[in-house]
Amino acid sequence: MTAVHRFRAMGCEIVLSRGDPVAVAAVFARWEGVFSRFLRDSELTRVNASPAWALHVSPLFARALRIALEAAADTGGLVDPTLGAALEAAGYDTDFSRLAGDGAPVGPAVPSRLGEVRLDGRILRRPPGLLLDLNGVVKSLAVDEAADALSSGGFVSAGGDLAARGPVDVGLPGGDAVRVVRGGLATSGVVSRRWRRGGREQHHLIDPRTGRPYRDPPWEQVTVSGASCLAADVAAKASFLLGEDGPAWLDEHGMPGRFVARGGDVVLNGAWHRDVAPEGVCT
Amino acid sequence: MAAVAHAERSPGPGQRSRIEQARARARGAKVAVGALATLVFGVAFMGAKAHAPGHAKHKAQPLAAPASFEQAVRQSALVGGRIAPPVQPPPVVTSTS
Repeated sequence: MTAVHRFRAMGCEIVLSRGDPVAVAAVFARWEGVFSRFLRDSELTRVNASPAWALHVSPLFARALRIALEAAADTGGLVDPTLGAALEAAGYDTDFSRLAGDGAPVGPAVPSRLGEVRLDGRILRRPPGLLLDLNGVVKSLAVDEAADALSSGGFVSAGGDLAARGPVDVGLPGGDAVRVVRGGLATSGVVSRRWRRGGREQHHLIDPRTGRPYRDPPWEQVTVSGASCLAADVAAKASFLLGEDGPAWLDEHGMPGRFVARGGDVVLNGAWHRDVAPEGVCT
Repeated sequence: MAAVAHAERSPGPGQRSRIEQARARARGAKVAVGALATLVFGVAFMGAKAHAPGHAKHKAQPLAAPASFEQAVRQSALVGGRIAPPVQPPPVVTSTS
């Protein structure tokens, strides 16, 4: 049995196998140090606080923001890096572990400002006050980078977002399992990262069309298999926000997706069903 | 005597007419050459303005591919992975992030 290492980083549990845990921890520490919204000296915090219209950002920051903007283009704007203010308005303004049980009512809706961000090389242009949040891609990018350093057959998982360097069996929400032969697996949903503000439940999946947490989603959790953890994570968030259209949208991209409905029913899209062909679930 | 010399140097009515005619032809030729040169310059100028790559016909555009072109050429990150039925108890669980 291969040793499995566990530690905490980026607000979640990191699990890895067939790799150097110190090196993997250093990868996550580097990404968290640049992109945390809650560290006062992170580059993201400094960028969001800067009154300048144009900023010279680090190579890592530019790379992640470019990928985030491309993810926004790929998803029709559903995975959007300009929703930091909307997250804060919904009450997610401190580390998740410190969010109180209930709090003041949420602030006004803050819709997408995607069209106001420009990145030319390492020069970022955006209006002061626009709060970036790159969490939609940063954790999965860190997972993919950490997985590059693993031995064959290894895997690394951050809060359930996983990249594998060979076949690995992974448990799924609701008790099922699947073998990840190649690429990554990610799950998005509203089961764990939610809180209350003004007596109403809030969560971290902001709908850029409304500038508020997605209301009354048909799904509790969406799991997607992608060529990388990044692809899986972006597709999981987008298909969650697409509601009933999520399974068909994933099929259009040839991506396997597994949707857990609010009542516990499991819906598989065509690509997932083709690869795994389980019994007792509908497509 | 002086009148005779003057009479010898002065052109006759027919000779004067030929000189005037030559001057008129020269003037006409100068005007024609000038007009032709102006016309050739004007045509060349307008042609260059309309067709030469160094002359902008419209407002200058940035030297970059249009966004629609980049969007069509750039490969989407949304590519599916490969999964299969499990063969052993999973050592790790995916969960909501």
